[in-house]
Amino acid sequence: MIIAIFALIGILAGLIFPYHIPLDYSPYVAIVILAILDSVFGAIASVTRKSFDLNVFITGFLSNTFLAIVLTFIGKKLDVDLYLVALIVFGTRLFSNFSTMRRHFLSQFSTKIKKKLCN
Amino acid sequence: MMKNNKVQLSVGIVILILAFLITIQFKSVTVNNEQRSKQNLRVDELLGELKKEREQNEDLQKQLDALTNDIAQYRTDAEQETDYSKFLSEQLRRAELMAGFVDVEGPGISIQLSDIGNRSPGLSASDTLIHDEDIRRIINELCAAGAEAISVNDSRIISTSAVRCVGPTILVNDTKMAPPYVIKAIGKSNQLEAAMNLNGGVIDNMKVWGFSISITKHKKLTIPKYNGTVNFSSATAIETVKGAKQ
Repeated sequence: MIIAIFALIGILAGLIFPYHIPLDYSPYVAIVILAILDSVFGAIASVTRKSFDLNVFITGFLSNTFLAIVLTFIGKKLDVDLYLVALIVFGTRLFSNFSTMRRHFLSQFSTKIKKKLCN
Repeated sequence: MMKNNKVQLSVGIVILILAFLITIQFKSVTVNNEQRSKQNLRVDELLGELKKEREQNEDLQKQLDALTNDIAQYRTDAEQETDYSKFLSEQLRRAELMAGFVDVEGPGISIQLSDIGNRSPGLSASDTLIHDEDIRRIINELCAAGAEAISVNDSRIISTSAVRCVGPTILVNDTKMAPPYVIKAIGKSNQLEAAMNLNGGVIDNMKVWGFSISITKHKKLTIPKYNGTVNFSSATAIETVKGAKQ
């Protein structure tokens, strides 16, 4: 519930925000979005695993974002698309986290049905 | 409970940032794409060229009218000797103006070009010099943009002018020149400047190599007359107007 409100506030702020990002900085924002997305998915997955740790979440969020930005920056300077590294890692983790979430909810769902059937 | 609130708050803030960034990025990508497609569209440029072409056509028509008038006047003046000499001298003045044998002044632009001072490792010595080809292309572009008088380092470009390369220097009208080169052109200064600043144009291409080029517009510019002499020994005019001959 709180999360949805926060997401709504974010979207509204983004819509109201009068400036737009210049083309040169667009890759950075894209990679930061991916890093945050990865953190959020990781958080939800860890909640389902009941191993969520706030400190791990915050440090992971900050350091992942930072590393992604640094990689993109270095990649631009070296003329090698280093951000692809971050892209692939975040992408794979996103899917694996998603699959743990899926399994968790699926098992929850099936136990519920079994209970109903037994009753 | 306290800890749970904290967790929700922190995750919420992160999601807030995420949502904010995603919306901004969405907006930016659309804006940037629009700008890019605008840059690719050269419709405005082409329209400008079309307009220029039309104006040129009108000018040519005017010139044709003037010339036909001239022929008529030749015919009438051939009969009345009184105004004939006056008319002839006027004609001569006009011919001299067009041929580049008089000093001229008017609005225009000047372009200053200099070689690359300290050359970067990837470039050869030849890459850092301004070549005759560059000067020729600029002169060509200026002519195309409607320049009426052009000079390179105060050497007037006329119909028989040649721009050649001699070692590290350039020969214009058999005058040796060294950088910096100043090319002056009289004409509609806005038009000339636009032609010079064309995307992917001569100047643009040279700037890629690292030449320092400055273009200045002038309200009043003086271009000296051609210093040498032109002797036509092979070409002779074909007399087509019989009336003028009589």
